[in-house]
Amino acid sequence: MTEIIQHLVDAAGLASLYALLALPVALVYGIMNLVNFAHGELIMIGAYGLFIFAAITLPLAAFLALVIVVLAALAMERAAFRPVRGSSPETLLVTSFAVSFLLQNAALMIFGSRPKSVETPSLFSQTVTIGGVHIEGVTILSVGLAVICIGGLVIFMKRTAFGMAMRAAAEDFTMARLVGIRANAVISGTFAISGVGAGVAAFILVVQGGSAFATMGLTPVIIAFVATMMGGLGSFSGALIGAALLGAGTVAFDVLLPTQLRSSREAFVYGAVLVVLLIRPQGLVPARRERV
Amino acid sequence: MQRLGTSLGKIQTPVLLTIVIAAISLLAPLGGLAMENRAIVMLINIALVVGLYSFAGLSGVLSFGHMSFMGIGAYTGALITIPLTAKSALLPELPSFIAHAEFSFPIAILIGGGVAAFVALVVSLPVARLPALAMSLALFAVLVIAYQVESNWNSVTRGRQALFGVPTGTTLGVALAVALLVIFFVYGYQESRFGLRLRASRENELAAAAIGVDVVRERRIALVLSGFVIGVAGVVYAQYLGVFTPNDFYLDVTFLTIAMLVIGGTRSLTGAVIGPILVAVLTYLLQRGETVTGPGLQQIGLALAMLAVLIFRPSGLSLGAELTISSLRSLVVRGRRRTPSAPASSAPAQLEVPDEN
Amino acid sequence: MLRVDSLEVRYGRLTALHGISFEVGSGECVGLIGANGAGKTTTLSAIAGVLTPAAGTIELEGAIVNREAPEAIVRRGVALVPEGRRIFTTLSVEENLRIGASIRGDDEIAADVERMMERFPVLRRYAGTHAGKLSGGEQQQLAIARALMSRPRLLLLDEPSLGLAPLMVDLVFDLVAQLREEGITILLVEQNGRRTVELADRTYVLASGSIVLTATGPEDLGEVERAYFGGDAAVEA
Repeated sequence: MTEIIQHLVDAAGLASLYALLALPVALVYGIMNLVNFAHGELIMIGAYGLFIFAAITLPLAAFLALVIVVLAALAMERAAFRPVRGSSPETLLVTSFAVSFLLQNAALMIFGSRPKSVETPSLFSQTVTIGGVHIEGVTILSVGLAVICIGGLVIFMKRTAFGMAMRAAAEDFTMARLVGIRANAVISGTFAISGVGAGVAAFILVVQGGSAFATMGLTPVIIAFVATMMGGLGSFSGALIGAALLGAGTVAFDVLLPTQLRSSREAFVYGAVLVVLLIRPQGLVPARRERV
Repeated sequence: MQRLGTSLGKIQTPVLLTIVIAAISLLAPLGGLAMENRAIVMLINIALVVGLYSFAGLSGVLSFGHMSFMGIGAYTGALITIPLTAKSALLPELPSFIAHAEFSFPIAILIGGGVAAFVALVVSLPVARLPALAMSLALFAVLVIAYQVESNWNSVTRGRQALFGVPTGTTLGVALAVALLVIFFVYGYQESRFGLRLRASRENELAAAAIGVDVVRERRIALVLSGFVIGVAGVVYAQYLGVFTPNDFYLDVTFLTIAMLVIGGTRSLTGAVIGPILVAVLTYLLQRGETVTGPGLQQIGLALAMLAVLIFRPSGLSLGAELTISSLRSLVVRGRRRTPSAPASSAPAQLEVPDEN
Repeated sequence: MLRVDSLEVRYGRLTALHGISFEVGSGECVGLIGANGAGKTTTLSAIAGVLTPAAGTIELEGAIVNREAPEAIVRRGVALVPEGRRIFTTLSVEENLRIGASIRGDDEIAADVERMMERFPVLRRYAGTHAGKLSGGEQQQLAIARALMSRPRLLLLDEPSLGLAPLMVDLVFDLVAQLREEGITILLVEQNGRRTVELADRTYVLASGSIVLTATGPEDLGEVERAYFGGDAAVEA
């Protein structure tokens, strides 16, 4: 019993992180049909931000890093994605792929290929034990931040005029413009939100891994893609369900796989996702499509 | 000249491309060994990009996963060509049917391509049924899976450690022959009934389905054929390197081949051939620049070039057109008159919603 | 209010409008009728900023707005009730009304929502539910109410009676008449030629991307019918 609870706790920690990765990607896709490969590089920028400001106190460093990521997200949209706005989803995707590669190599040029270690408070590396169940500091951090961010996002989407505009734009972008919603404002706002998500995820990943490096955005972005794809591209709740299942699946494979195969855990998880897609090609929660 | 075009008829595009590539291959050795090696790499890249084009270009579905077939071809080809004694020392735990297999290079090319095609077939079972964009992402997941398997299957691939002792049979001639065969093969597919149906689904998926095109089936066929071509290129590349790791078939080459295809133009075989040629030149120049700026310029320059093409010339430098005798003529005539080139996509962008100012 | 001069719109190589010209004066109700594919929706889309004209001009209160974005056109006091209604199905009925006021910053929005619910009682009944659950006629009322929320001076209506039950069609045409009484300038695109000609101050007949006839009253109906497509029953529809 304790063992099962232990696994559930671990799964909840992973699922929270994955949700923080998948939601911004799903959000941006919903608004402008862009699957943003470079979302991973926003996380990377956040991590380097933490590295640069780590000398100051951590809360301030975290805040400054967050600001930098949001600015980077806005700049990315303005410089690379606005010129190709309205192109096919494939073109948008390949553009973001180029941006991702560009930023990765720029980071390599600036910071080198060796990871930059970032000091984080020992608080997060401690483990709490309740009734035989070990809860890592990072798990608590992930779950806490995910609850705050996702809860905040839901309230923002439901209660504010901007959130309402975003929901309208996600359903029918042209009609949203026809009632006067400014396309640039909605898209910039969405990118800013995705930047916040990336910044928060960067914080968790740095606490977890202890360092920042140029290619660190890759794994998170793959996870975000797989989760959103499994949930159904463009579906907000689908992304959450996908993230939860992916977290649970990862823990399950970790437990069930023999030791020598454990290092290929991701391969098994993604393979399982492909099998899920074999049964449900549109994902678990097919998105509501815009009427023409 | 016009008559030449007519008599060559439908095969003039691959013939013209052959002339271009053969000319480069003949001239390259004059520049010394380094230049010859650049030419070999360029030819292998042409095979890879044309292979990628046979799926992504013809179907309109971008793939981030095709270099997994390159890795599969490379490992397969290497494992069945490394001399037996060396192999037993290098990989003592190899399953016996591979441990005792030793084939000649041409056979290894076919087997490598065949294994890659088979994996592509398995992959296509779930993947080909997905909506286009989800398929792009799923293929990316395939790339990650292949990379992880290669990196962790120590008894067969040596994991993250380099696999070495691979015979280096790839000469300039071999690379040229393979690149040309691939071009003719893919061109034949493109012009066949299958290729036509696939292209119809690219232009309008619903309309193609309405006239009876089984889009999933056509994409599946393309996936298997492209898997074969890229597997072949993988074998050839491995026999050029002699030593490689799973990283040689992962993100860098994925980016490189996609960049080449985008720069050349995803909508024509000509684009898939000129892309690698142009990038070879660009890379050469950027590498010279790196002596001043330090490493990284090459990748950054390539990414910027790709972004510039996507923003200013989305159909690539080939503009989606094929190289033909008449297109060459009009190019020459236009050059003489010094009129600005009128791209095929000059139709006003009517459907585009004007930007907010 | 609105002056369209030699407007030409193309989709790629296909020309949808061959230089049409017409005018809508302040306070007028002008009809634009024609068969499917005649170019009616294209005309409205160009005025609303969704399509960019290839040639010609669109003038709103003296300003040329050819290249302005939809969100800028709305701010000039033009609201579109699009073909197929296109209400936001994932938003509640009330949210659909509020989003109609996106360009406004005044504090009367809530009062206007209230007024709309007064005018369209069905909207009050479903205020909190997802708009996707509404029937076709109810959605049409919502779409018109949403457009009115921006307090437009010019209202563009794209086939508001399409696909509605006869009773609903009456309701929609009565509503258009009312709105004109209230001083809103109206450009009404319809397939229902007879009712449009009866209602509007002036009706242009569009065929294959050109204006072929201008009708000023019911006495022109016979001619309209012939211009339409050889006296087809569609005018009666």
